Amino acid sequence: MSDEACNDVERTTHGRPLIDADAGCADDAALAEVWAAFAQLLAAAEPPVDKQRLVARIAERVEQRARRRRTRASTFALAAAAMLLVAVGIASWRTRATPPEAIALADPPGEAVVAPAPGQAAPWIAWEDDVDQQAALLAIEACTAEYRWQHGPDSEALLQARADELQQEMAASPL
Amino acid sequence: MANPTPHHERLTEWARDHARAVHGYVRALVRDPHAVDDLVQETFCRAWESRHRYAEAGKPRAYLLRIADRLACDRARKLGREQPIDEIHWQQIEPASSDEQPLAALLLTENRRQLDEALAALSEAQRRTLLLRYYGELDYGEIARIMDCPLNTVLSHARRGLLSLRRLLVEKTE
Repeated sequence: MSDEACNDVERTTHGRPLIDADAGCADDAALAEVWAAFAQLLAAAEPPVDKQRLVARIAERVEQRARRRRTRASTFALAAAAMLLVAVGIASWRTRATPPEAIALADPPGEAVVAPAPGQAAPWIAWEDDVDQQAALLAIEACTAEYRWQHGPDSEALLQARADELQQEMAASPL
Repeated sequence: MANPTPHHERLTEWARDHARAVHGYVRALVRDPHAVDDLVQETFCRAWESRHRYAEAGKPRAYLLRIADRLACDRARKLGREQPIDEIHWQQIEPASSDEQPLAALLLTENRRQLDEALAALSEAQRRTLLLRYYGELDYGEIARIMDCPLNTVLSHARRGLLSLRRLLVEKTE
């Protein structure tokens, strides 16, 4: 196709021939005839579209997807909450379930067990608590990552705030 | 019921103004009427879901046809039908619906048969180019952007497509 013909093609608008017959090229004029025949075929074959029904179907489809998304979000939220509760529960149980005999046996011989000062954690409990905190924080981190993926920045901030709160609670809880 | 948001209004407006073009375009690429309905609805759903990213500067019809084009291409890939094929094989792979619906009745008309034959004579790129030109009322620059190829390639597709159609539509009748 000549440059001139290409320019003519670019200038054409809908309803006019694809290739401008005035381009001075017999071949392009013949193609314009083809385009007209093709456009006629397409126009004749166009089925009627029920636009009201289409809009209703689209709205229904959009709503279905939104509902599915909400359901998934709720499931994730429940799962994340359950994971947090389990992590906190395990941490709490392990701290409180340490029997005094085990603590006594674990003490190196010759070293007296010193009672902690009021408001201060005993060294063995502090060690256990540290490990459990790490496990809980890992669980929180996993939940946060899931939330970030699922819900975006707002939920992440909420969950992070909850994680910080839990961390503070755990730091203060053993004694 | 809540007042419609600008997005709702836009979707309704798009459906009103462009549903016919989108439907016609998809209809010409995908022959199964059920698949056509599905793809048209999916096109508008995708447009709705990405409404926040839609740039007002663009033509809505070009935007919708771009989505429709990608969906149709994805579907063709999934069906493993990327190469142009003749009418007989096309019928075998994706036969027209046999439902006794008005749309199916239209399929049976001579006009429809002739159009199917014409579309089957085109390569996929030629078909997309000419259909985007017709249904989208797009200039070739826009078609090139939708098809992600250079302008000259698109012009070449248009010209070669028309030459193929000439043999079928014009020379046959002479």
